[in-house]
Amino acid sequence: MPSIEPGDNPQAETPKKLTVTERLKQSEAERARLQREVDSLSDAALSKWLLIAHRESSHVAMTQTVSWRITKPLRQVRLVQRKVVEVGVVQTAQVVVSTLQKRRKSSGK
Amino acid sequence: MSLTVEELSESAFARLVAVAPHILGDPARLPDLEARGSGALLSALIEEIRHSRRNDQVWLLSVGLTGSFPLPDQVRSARRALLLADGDLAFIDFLEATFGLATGTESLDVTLEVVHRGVVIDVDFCATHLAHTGIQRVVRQTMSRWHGQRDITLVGWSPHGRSMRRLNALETSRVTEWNTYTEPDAHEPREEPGRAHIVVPFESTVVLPEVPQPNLCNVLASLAEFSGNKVGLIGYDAIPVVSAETVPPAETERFVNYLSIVKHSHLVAGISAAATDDFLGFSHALRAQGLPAVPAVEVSLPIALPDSAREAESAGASTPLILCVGSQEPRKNQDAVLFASELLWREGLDFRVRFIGGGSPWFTQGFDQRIKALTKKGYDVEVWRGVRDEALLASYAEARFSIFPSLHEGYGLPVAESLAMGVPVVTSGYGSTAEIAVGGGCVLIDPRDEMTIVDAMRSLLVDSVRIDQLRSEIAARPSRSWDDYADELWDGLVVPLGAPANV
Repeated sequence: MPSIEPGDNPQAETPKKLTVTERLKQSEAERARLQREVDSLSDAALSKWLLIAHRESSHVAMTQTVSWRITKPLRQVRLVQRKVVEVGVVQTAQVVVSTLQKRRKSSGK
Repeated sequence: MSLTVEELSESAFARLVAVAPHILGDPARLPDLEARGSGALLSALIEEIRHSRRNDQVWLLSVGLTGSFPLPDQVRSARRALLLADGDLAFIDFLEATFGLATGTESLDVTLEVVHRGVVIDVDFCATHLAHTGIQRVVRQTMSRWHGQRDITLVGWSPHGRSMRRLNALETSRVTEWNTYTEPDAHEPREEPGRAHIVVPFESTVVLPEVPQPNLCNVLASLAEFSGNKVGLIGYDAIPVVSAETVPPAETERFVNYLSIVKHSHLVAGISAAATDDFLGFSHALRAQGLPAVPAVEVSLPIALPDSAREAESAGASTPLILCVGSQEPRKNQDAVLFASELLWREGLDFRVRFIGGGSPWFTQGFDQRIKALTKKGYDVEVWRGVRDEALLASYAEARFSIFPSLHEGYGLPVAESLAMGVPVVTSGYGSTAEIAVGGGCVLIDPRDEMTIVDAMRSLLVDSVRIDQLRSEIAARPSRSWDDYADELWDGLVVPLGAPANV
């Protein structure tokens, strides 16, 4: 029985045989295309990460918010409480009064 | 401020390009990586660090990606993430590890400049504050001499202390032209800041001539430990720890945080032998933590005046003036001076006392009341606060002698300034003030024994021969100027860390 070698079918259209150089070029092109795709995906991932981090970072600006500013007196009261424990009522009161007087003077009221 | 993804990507790409030459083993790869975009560039930098395993590069890439200097734990977790990552996922793992740093940043829309093998000097406090006591005097006197003459980059910090930045013109003037610049009116419109620009020292010398603000200590400790920069600092004293009873508790807390920078720094230049000993003591204690000792060298401050009006006129009043200069706080022992003065006034001696210096209201409130009580009794005592150098020097010129009975000092600038003005000084007989006194012109007392203060004051008030003798001793002292100090500090602190020597 005669052996049938691939490509012996006379009815089938014979695909053009690529040379090694052509196949290498094709592979390189494919590799470059895939690399571009990977690079583009990395870019997109990094951009997304930057955007999310940027939105999250808004808390850094907390001290400029209205709520931070309107709670300032509470923080000052806490400071006074601590100072009363540290140096006593009399000295704390003296410093508080003198500080308020200085502020009033400097604000021209 | 709301930013578009394009703006964020553009500035992140520029930052990565800026740090890349210091991470890539073969910088020739950079143009190709740039052409492929920020994702590819970041991946390549991550791969390099996975091979080099260099902490300084982890630190640098973290800054490049986020525009923020990482804290010690953030460097460690980024490094661990890189080393544990499966090759292909290292990119994602690094983004995850640095997300906390990125969200803590002030803005991701910043540009970046790497100072490579340069000298970066952190003068944030002097640049942004108008206080001008001991440390600020040293910084301004020294920087005014280095600026323009040496290749240095003066930096401050971003508003929330996340990154270093260059100083603007006004801030530079506050540091380098203290006695000649004019502070603009606070109501004058300020220039609108554009996109923030940060300075990143790499393989450089970072000098810390100030004691940094508490919020900067951790980030500077990280820089000292991980960034590969050589960190050198001026060591003023360890008073908040070794004489903690004399300072407010917050000062001690602040100083302890500062020690976290000192322990990872590379060289300390003490302002006196006593201050150098304090830092060497801490340095020896580091052995218990498995850390190398931090070398400390002595570069003593000069006996010199500030640069302003050197010719001060005496007011020529007939009643002798005793001058007591220095911030008003328990450690400086001004109450002992008040006590001694009152005893001597009661003895019938006629003299005036002037205190010059500011202080925390927690002390000055009571101190001012004691001054008021003495004034009511008819004694001639006054307090001057917020005076400029001209008034200070005029007071020295007017004084018969000055007194500085501090309980603990890193140096004692008022002693040095008094001697530089030719005015005898009564001061503490140990530590740095005793070091200064070695050259003559001083009467040493025990600041804890008030009667020795009384005796010294009485002697200098009644004995003009003694005063003349002390003035002769002062005249014979060898002179050492701020110019000398600035040169010696450069040679003693900056050159050993890698900067060029004096030409």
